Amino acid sequence: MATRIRPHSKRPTVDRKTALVNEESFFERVGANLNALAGLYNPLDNRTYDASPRNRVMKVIDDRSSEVKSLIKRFAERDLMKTYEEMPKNGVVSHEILHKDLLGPRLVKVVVAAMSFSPVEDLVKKGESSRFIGAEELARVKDLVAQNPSVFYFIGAFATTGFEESCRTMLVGGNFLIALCDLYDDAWRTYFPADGRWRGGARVFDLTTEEEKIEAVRRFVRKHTGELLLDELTEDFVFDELGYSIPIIREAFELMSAEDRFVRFDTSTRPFRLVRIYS
Amino acid sequence: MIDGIPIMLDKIKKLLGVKDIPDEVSPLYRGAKNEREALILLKEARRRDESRRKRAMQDLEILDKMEEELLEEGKDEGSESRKLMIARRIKEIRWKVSELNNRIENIYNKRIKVFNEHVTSLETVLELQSEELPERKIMEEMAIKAKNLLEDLEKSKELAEGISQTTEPPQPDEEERSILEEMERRADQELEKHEPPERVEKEKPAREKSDKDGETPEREKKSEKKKTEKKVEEPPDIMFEE
Repeated sequence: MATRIRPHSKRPTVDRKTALVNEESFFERVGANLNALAGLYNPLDNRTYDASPRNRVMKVIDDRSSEVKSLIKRFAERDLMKTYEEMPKNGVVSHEILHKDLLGPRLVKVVVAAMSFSPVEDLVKKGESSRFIGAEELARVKDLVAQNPSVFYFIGAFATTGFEESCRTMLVGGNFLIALCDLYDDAWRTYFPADGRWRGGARVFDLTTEEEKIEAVRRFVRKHTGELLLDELTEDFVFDELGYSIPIIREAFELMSAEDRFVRFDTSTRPFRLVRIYS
Repeated sequence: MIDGIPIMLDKIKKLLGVKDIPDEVSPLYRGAKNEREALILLKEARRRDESRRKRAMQDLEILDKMEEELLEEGKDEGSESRKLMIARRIKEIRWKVSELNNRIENIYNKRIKVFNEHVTSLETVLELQSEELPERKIMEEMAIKAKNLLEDLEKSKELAEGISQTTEPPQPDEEERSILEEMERRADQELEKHEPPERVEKEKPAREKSDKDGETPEREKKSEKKKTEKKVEEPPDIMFEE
């Protein structure tokens, strides 16, 4: 039995520009996924609603952008405009899925909200930060969005520096589900709390294509040769780190074992793993 | 095909001049149809093992790095339980390192050495085999040519010896030898003749010295005379002193 120790998590340091680029990329990917979605399930009335653009209204909540502005005014000493342009805006974009019954007005039934988080104060003061986003901040912004109890909210929260572990305890509610997104080693990953109500809604926050995931698994394996040598590179280990589905991880393992003659996909014991071979 | 296997092995043994073929290479020889194919298989097997060894060595570097990092981490770690976990992890890494080292030493290095030896031997044998012997007629012609060349060489050697004899300095006969001796004697006499003036020249500074002291030549002669008289009178011991 191998001794598995979890290395001390090295917090990624993000600068203003990177944070801004990642934030924009997040909204772009969520928008693209939403466009590919035909319908969205509402667990409150157990119905699936048409999510096509004609039944959808996009709203940008820029309350937090003004927070960024005020922080810049407070802490930045010069080039305020330039700093603002460089900064991530901590934006919130909500897509309301409307539905009109035979008799009655068009009503919001489901909301898909994408929200971005960055340690703005650090970024304004120091230009970079590695501070994780805490549960309080997440809860505050969630409350800002999910205000109507008769509407179900699928929320995707993205943190440019990552979330604290405590955030995972507050992702499920009566009328909302939150998925936590971040970038790990240039690979998008999403943490979905286990809940049967996700259904098709989960796909909106799955930010990477299959090819990108396979490539991310490849990169991950390349960076974890030690685990490979010690027979610890299991599908579970990769799942814990990247959050990709097991079939994707297995596919990536199979491809890697076909490409590299020093690697074998061992399916003799569970969990399946990649092992080093020299033959 | 089955009949061909021992034949191939025997052939290789005969070619290389060995009694036994090592286990590492015998399957390769069995799988080969001829010597050239065996050589290709050997080279291929060597290349494979070299790449395996290279991979194992790269892995060793990674494990060393991991161990180093863990040791550093353990050094700064405050919690005893985590320290123990790190120690266990390092132990596992060291087992793996030892396993890899054994693999490199006992399998790859050993096999590569055997492959190298057989590749070199087989290459040499095949190279020698590939050199074709000339035809009998050509060989006879070459032998005749060589014989002629040897004869020519012998003749020219004799000729060269003759030339060297004439070039030797002529030996004098008796008469010539006596003349030569006489010439030498004369030369010696001349040398003796030349010697007295040299002595005068040597004595000159002494005389000049005496002049400076204020003595006249007449006095000198007298003193010399006296000296000779004294010499006659004096016993031989004193003469010896002079």
